[in-house]
Amino acid sequence: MASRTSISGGQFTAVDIARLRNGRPLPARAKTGGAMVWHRRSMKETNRAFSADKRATAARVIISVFALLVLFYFSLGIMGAMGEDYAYSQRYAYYNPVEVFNALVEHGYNALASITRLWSQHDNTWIQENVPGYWAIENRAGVLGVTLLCGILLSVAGMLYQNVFKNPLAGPGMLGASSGVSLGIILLVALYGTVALDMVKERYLFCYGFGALILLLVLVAGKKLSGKGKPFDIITMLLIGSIIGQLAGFVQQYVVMFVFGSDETFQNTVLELQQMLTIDTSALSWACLGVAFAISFIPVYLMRFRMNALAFEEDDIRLFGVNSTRLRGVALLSGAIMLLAAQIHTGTVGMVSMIVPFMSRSWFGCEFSKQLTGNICIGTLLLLLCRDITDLIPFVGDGLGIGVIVQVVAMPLFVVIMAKHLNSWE
Amino acid sequence: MQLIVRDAAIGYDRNRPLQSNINFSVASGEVCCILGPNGCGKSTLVKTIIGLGDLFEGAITVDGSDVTKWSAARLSDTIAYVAQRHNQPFPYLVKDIVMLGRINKMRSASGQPTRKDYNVVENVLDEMGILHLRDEPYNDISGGELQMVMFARALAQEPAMLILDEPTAALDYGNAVRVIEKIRQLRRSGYAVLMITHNPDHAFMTGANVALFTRNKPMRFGSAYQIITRENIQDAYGINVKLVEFTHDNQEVMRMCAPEFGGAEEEEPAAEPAATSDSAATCEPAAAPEAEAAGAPTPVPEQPIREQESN
Repeated sequence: MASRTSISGGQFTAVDIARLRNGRPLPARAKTGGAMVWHRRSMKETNRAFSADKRATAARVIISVFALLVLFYFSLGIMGAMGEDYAYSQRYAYYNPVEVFNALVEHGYNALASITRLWSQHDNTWIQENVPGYWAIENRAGVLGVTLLCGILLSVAGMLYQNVFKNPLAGPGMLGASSGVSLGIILLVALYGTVALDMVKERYLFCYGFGALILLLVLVAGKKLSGKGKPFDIITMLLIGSIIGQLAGFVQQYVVMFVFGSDETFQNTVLELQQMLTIDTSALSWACLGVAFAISFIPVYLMRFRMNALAFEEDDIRLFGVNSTRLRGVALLSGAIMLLAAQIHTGTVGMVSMIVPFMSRSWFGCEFSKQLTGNICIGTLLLLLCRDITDLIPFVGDGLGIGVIVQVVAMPLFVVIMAKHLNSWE
Repeated sequence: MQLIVRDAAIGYDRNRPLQSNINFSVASGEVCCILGPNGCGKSTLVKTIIGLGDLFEGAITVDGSDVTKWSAARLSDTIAYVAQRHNQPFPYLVKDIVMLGRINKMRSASGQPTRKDYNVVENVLDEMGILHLRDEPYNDISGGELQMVMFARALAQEPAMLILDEPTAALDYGNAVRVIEKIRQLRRSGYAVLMITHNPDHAFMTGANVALFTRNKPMRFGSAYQIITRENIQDAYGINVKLVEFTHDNQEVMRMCAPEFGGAEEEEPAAEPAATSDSAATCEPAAAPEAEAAGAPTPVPEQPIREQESN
């Protein structure tokens, strides 16, 4: 039953108004600031309403996690071009769900043995004879783990940029960070040739280095051009990012034309590195990805309620008590770092950053926390699905880049979304 | 709480201020309407008060403290602003929009809404009569309902003062009246309301003081009865009006402006309507209750500026 002990409007006496005019507090019966006292809705009613909302979100998360676990399980058995048999027989090596289950049980057995020391682990010879795919599935799990993290990074990056620019078509490549990755790859191949394929440490150094360099240039130039003592102008940063991206593209073209010339080997090497046909699951890869994930995702997660203010105009954000320049800056930089990391570790992937936020808003809602949850759930599912499709398509050489499949899978989804939102499209 | 603007000069060029010698005040339980023609600096004045414009001369104080030196957080604790127009890029739910008004209550950047915040949001929605819209997308509601949502968002900040920029713009007549009724309630509840409006009648409806701007004359400040006169409206807008006064059924005396169209030699004057039993309309402007000289402003109270407190 709603509490109706409201005190408002005409129940204030002239004495109360005089107290307010003189800046003195009202009597104890008036509890909230701004003279109006609301006790129309009890806390119990509020809890009931918002609990229902949280349950609805939790249900969607549970469905998504369940789907992800099922897809992950079946994905473990898809070896794709990594399969031992493919390169020579053009036949995929894959492991059926029973074999995957056996491999997982064996991994669990050995892990518990090493932790508890109650029994000894099986030796490699026994494993090779009795548990087919034990190591291949372990390696596959690493590939899928990188894919999941990159799915989160790509979708959240797209969400951040769409919120900052209040534009459903905005993308995280607008600050030019992805140009830095491409530039780094081309310079690496120009210096080391085809050997660059095996130079893991140098690859991360060049790609992260040039990507960070371009971001730094955009920040410094943006600050200089915004004027002394004035906050960052976002549009200025975008223009500079675009200009620098074009310059980076020019350098890439120059190298390709005048350094590589007609040598297709170099160009194929660049293509393979850009598409990341072989996902690196080394400790260094995980470390780089983990650091990039931490420095970009954690600030966004912590400020997830404040990020809702991005939906308002500059003037309104300030009147909320929020530093709008800082908020937008955090969102843009975090998004750029997320895209940088995802591109380095999983290759050039488009459309995910645009499609997944749409789907997330439709299913989970626009409130930032819900959007974030939705992007994590849907981004991981979509990229994992695309990874499986990529690895199921027969392709000569080292396989197909995931970016190609994402384009094919995402385009129909985009058409469906457009058709659904055509009337309300802005 | 009292906002005082004293001898202020505002604009975009220090050498050519848009308006100067601005003097007015608004206190808790009062409404102040800012009237004036387009381009005279009304919105610029409001933006200067909330820290988005430059103050070239004078002072803007709240209870003696210089507002222009306040941080965004302190400003949001005291003043809530409702803009004229609202872009709606994404279909946020109404409750999520209103919850944004609670951001200033979370001092750290990682603050999250608590149960109390949820309760405040629900109560504000109920107070504004839009609780039924709580789970609706806010770009699917009418213009009047959207304005109520923005009011609710501003009230959720628990401010002492509301600044409204043309709150009835783009609203139909019914919704505009509802918004004015809500402003009257807010005044009775003790809020200070500063409102930009293009309709002088709003000042009469809300029992407001008026800060009237013109292009070439000093601004005038005083009660609506003092400031909204035929002469002042002519000066400000270049049109002729007649002030009419009547009494509602609830005995509330209402004064309104009736514009005069054309000249006496151009058309036949319309026949005067017969007085009905439920209204007492007069065609002659009634004397102001205070019977002060037209145009003589109420003096703005002296209030020394306190030393800037640490935020």
